[in-house]
Amino acid sequence: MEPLPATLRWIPALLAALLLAAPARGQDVTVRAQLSSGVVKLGGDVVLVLEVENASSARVGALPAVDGLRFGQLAGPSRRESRVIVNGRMREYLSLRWTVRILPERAGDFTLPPIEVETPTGTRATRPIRFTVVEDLRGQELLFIELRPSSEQVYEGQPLAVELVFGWDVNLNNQVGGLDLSLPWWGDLPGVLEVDGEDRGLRSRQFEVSVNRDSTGLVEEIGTRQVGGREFRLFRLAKTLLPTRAGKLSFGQSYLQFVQVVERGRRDMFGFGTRDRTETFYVGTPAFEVDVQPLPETGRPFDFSGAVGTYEVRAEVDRRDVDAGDSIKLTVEWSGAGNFEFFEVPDLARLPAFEDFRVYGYNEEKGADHRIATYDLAPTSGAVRTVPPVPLSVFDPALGEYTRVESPAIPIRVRDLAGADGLEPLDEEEGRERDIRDIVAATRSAGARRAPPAAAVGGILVAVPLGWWVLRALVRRRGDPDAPLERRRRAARRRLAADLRGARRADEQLRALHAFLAARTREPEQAWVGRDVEEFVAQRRGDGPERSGHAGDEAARALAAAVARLEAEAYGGGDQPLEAGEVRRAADAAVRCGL
Amino acid sequence: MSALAALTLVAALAGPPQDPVALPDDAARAHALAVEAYRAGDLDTAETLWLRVRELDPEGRAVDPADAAYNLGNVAFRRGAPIEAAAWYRTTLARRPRDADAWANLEFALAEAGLPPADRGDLRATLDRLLHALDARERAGLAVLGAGLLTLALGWEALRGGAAAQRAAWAAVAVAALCATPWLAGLGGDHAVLAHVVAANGATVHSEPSRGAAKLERLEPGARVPRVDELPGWVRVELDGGVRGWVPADGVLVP
Repeated sequence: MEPLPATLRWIPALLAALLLAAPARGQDVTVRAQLSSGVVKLGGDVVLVLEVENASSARVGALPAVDGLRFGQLAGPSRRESRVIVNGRMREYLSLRWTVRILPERAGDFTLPPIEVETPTGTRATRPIRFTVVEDLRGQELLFIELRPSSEQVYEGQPLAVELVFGWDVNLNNQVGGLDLSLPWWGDLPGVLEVDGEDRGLRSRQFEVSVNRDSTGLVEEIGTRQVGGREFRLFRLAKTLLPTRAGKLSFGQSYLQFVQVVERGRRDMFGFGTRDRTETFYVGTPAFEVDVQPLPETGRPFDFSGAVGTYEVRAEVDRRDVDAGDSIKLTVEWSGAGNFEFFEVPDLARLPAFEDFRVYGYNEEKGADHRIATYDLAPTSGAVRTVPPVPLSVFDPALGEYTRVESPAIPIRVRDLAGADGLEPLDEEEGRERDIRDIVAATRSAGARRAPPAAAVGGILVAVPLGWWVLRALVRRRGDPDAPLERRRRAARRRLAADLRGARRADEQLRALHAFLAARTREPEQAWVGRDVEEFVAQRRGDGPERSGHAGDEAARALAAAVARLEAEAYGGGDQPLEAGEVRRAADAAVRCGL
Repeated sequence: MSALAALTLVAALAGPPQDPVALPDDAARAHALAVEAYRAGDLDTAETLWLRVRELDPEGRAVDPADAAYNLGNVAFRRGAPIEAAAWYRTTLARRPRDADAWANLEFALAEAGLPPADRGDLRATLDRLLHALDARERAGLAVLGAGLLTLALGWEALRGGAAAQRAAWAAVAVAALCATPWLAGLGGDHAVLAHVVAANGATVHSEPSRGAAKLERLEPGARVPRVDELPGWVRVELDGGVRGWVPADGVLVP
């Protein structure tokens, strides 16, 4: 075969792409329903399968209510897709499947009404389906089942024991292929709590059996019994229920499903072969109801905390000879038949009988058939002779009224502590009340508490920085007060004092005085060597040489005399120092001159 | 003051017609009578007399008005009006901010009224309490003290100059600002007369002194707003944002 020309090679690829890209979908949305079997034995179940084709999504409407049929949970949908090429065209099939288990509750002919299914193209309905439920006569012959409540009437809170006895003909013992109990009330009764301890009283052999196909229950074998001329091997399943509200408890029909192995399958050495051939039988119990009565309001004690049943109580203490304040463990145990897990144990701290005790608290242990409370007590004085009875208000269903069960009083001996009055009553320690503090009864004046006017305080706060700003400006007009010459001038007197302390000769004193005068006049020290002091002072003051009688003249003359004496001593060869005080007076004279 | 005299006064106050002359003109005497009446359980008389004390001696020359306000708070509390009691305790604390008894009673009264505590204990409340821990005189004194320190530091800087003087001046500015903060925080509050909402369900602020006037705002119980003016049966208050309105006088207390 010759290859296609290059220009035509794209045609097959295009055709293939078109085929794959646009598959033809199934045209119409269809809804179908079918049962797994058309004839069902009473006690068995049948599975309803709902299937929607050619719809990407769908929703199943409410399942119909049919007298005598019990519907389980709707499971699904499961999704199946397939593509088929028909006559060169691809067809795509899509289906959604739901399943629901149907349990018949009586024999007879049944018709399942249409079930509506919502699809994207509209609401569709299934067709009615007929099927028949027949009694399993063989099962009734070979199997046994009996369900008994402890009472047909109970009170709220009163435990209700339910006992299921079932079994099979002893001749089937070697042909047991499987068991399942169909118990509609198992874990599904509204207004009921299941009490722990359902295995109470189990004796020898225990087995787990399948219940409702999705759970297991523990049963005990109770031996064999002759019923209707046949001998049955029997088992017992017990459960204790606690009704929490008044009304009716409905126990639907319970069934035993028994699978008999009619013929064992054969297996070769590789495990291949035939399966066991089995036959399934059913037997059921009739439905019944238990009436739950409310607890009467009449005569209900204030301290009733929910105890219902026939109670017995006993009490014991760990020590009977104690000192006041010593801890005593009081153990109270309630037992009998009752709701032991569902009441509050008495609070001894609230009981007047226990006023002479300090109650520290308690621990408790709950069980299906008993309740234990262990109180920690301490007698507060040696006057205590007994541990008082512990009362508990109980509703007794047998009597139909409220009763009171009390533990017996327990004699004890309490010794007072030497030099002590025993423990303080607890309420005095914790019962302090809070109140406002008392009035001021004394007459007190407010004193000079009047605050200065805000304007005055504000004025001060404003005036301080303002004054600083003015002062600073004034000072800076004469130059920077922090300049080196200014600092030297301010430190001149201190430096003179220090120099004079170290001066031993007249020339040293003269240099110290020159340094002082130079610092005061902001000049170098050499400027004062040989200077006519009186003339300089006069020039500084701005006086003419003819002026005399100025107030500083005397000081200028004293300064000039001191300088002259020091120069004479320093340059004349004597070099005898003057008295330090005389030099300081000369410095003072210089300051008075305005230097 | 004998019990007989107190009984005479009580009879004069209670028996019709009321004789205003029977009220003492001496604050100390009125206070003593009020204490006796309070001890005797006559809360109405005690209240009248302590109000008289505040009226006679607003400066506290004989009886501290803060004491009278505190005692009026106890009277209100004993009468089952914890919100009003809290208002009186706050009045006491405005004059004596560190009065432990007034604080204790204020918190107790607020708790009894189901209102949040005056000191919530968070940072803001703690700072607020710190700022208002001094009375007006102490705040002014502290501000002046800070100003004195500032004067010294600034004088040094002005006369001598130099880096050290400048550092000292800045430090003094900080200290002075710190000292002046309580005084600044108290500015305005010291002189404003507050209206305390004491009605258990709060008070409605109307635009005019009429219950039919527009309702501007609802004040919560225990709220405090500056009082601006008064008319018989009405108190004019200033809300946040400067809006002014009228509240019924029976819903507020103006100590």
